[in-house]
Amino acid sequence: MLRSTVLKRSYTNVPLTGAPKVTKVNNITVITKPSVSKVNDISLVYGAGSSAENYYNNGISQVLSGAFIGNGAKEAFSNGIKLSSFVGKEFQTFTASGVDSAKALSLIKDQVLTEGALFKNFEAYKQATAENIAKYEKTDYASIVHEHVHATAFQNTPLSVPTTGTFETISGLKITDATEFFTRSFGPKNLTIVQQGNNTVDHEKFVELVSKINVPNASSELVSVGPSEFIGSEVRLRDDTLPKAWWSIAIEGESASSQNYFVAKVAANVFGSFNLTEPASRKQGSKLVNDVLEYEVIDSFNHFSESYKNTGLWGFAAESSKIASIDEFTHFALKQWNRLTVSVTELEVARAKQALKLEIASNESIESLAGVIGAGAPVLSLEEQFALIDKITASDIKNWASEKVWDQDIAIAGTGQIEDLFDYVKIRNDMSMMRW
Amino acid sequence: MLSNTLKRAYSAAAAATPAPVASTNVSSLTLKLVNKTGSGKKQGLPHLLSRYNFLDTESKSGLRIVRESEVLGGKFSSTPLRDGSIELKATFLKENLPYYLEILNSVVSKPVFKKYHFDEEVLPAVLNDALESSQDVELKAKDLLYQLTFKNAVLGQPVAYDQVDKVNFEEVKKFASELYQPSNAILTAENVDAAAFKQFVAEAEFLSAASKAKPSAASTTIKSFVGESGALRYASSEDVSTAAISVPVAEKDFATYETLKNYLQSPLFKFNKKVSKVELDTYSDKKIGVFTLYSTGASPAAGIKSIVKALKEGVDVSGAANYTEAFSGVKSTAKTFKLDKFNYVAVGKTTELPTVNEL
Repeated sequence: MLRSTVLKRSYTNVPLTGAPKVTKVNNITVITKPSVSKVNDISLVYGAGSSAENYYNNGISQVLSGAFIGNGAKEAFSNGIKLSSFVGKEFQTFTASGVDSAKALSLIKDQVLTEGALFKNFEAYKQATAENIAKYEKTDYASIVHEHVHATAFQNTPLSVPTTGTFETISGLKITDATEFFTRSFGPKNLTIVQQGNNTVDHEKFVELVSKINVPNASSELVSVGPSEFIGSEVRLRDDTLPKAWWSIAIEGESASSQNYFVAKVAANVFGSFNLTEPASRKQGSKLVNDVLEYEVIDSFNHFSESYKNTGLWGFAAESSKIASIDEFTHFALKQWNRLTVSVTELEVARAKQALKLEIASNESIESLAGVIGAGAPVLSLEEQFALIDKITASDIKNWASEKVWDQDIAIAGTGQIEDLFDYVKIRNDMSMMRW
Repeated sequence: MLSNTLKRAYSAAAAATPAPVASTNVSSLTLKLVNKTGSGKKQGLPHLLSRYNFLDTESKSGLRIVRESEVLGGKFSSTPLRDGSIELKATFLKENLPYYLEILNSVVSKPVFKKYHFDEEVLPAVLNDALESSQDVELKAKDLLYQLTFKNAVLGQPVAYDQVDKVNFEEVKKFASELYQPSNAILTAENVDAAAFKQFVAEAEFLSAASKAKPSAASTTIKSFVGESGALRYASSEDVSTAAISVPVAEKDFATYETLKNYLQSPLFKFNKKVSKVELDTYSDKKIGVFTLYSTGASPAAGIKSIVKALKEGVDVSGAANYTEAFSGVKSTAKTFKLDKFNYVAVGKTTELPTVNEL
């Protein structure tokens, strides 16, 4: 109803890219996912990532990523193939992208699945990874706060381990850490092989190709990663020498296979993101933007809903050079979160649903797919995802929020000039209100 | 001139203009207004005009455009280019093609320029862009290189408005009337239905006029210079310096330089770790290009020396052919490349960077 008032005419002939095909062969899951990309991605997705690491070998996945890209670089490039690797909380990908799928698959086989291939030049890649992390720790404060909010929310459980590793842990790694991690975290049971593209080989043929691959560690027992638990807590790294403040507040979100997975994502998109210097961003219809705009209390913020195997994290990340207004933005944001339970409107939800659909369709990638696979959730086509999002109503959001957001414990992380980030109890009190 | 290169299913059109790899599943429309005549010589005009886009039109206010677009699921952007052209882009969910075509059509054909928008929205946004770009050491190098390469032509000026030329509201309006002409427009669509696209374009006045307009006569030739050098002392926040070289590239050599670009960043090139960034930018509707290579770091002096030495001696780029075909969509038969004359700039701690004679 709402759409028709804005859009006088749309047309229905809109083919999306179709459903993914999933087959299991020799304990390995094989997925063919059509996409519009002319370049095909062939990827090994291991259900490992930083949650399979511990506080002592943290960063080993990053070193293995570096080794994969570095060792195979020359051969890949000459064959018109690009190598990439990404470490998430619950997955690690080894991807070869190019026009020739068979060549890409054989390259991955040589560089990952062949005995000892990932451990070549270990010291050099360890050194390079440590240097990158040292640089990251001095520049990318927004990402650091994002890791910190995970670290405090899930403290002492697997999701608290940072995906990047730290300079100290990486510098102290030995080659035995790599071999042990490889044997205990990379096996056929947690391996998914994905091909994605517009011109992929036939799924049955791909399954046949995969069935011929000899995957290492078939008999080794994989390390079991326990569930992560959310606890309301905070971590602050105040540093007044930095030019501004970065902080993030989150509640426990939904797991990737939860019924409310998309409800939480739509709820995050009700507030969306904001950038003070962009005129179009300032014209957004969100009430939170309206609240913060008049006195310009914030530089930028972004709401997120991240989902993992058994839990999730839902909240905002903000950065601001107006360091005396941190409390104001925090207050206004949390008061808007209250509204999710009591007065979120159909219009706000309609807007959030479209924003979420655009975001999902724009960010289709091996990494986003790997996040779903790593979290053990079913891989859905765009059509299926859109259908689930379309069903969500304002009352779904209200029901979810009254259970998961209203008066719930929060995790707080911040760095930079955060003097004005109030104490835990004061912020926690904003999670509910005495009136409706 | 309207080139509707539909990048998904229409291979004939796509072959005419090599399509970059489309990796997402949303539709997009790109409307490029090409500055063919070199108008808008006052620095910053395209930047200021670009920030006016998606503000008020005759039929809709800027606020309404943003709010409607939110409910449909779509985003707009407007980017000023170095040659004074402007690129408008809409990214949206597939079924909303007619709405976004109509918006692009009205933004360029029926804009309403209001003075208070200039003061309250356009200028603050433009000055913020300028501030941000002034903090990028590689962009500083690029600006300087283009100034050396194209002197006083539009291409020789920085993109972000630097306030040296005082530009007023009326001048922006006048520039818009020159640039926003159907004969300057090139519309590209990605992931859209061809029949629907044609039908909706026919209904949009400006865009259909653009599709019927004859390609205008050859644009004014842009004179370029090589063998120049310059230096700029500059304290970057990350404490790094940049040494960069550039070469103007003729249309016939685009494929060769694209291959070279990929080669230099690949492990096949001995000094690839010293190369921070390589660009091949094309201008005036792909009539002229500029190849730029940057070596950035705490002390890039040795790096740039070895890179330039290797390029002067000649490099075998044939190994990059497969990669270039797959990822840049360009077929090249180039075997070797030898660097002849080039422009060079040093930005940052200039005393520690080589001069052009030392390269």
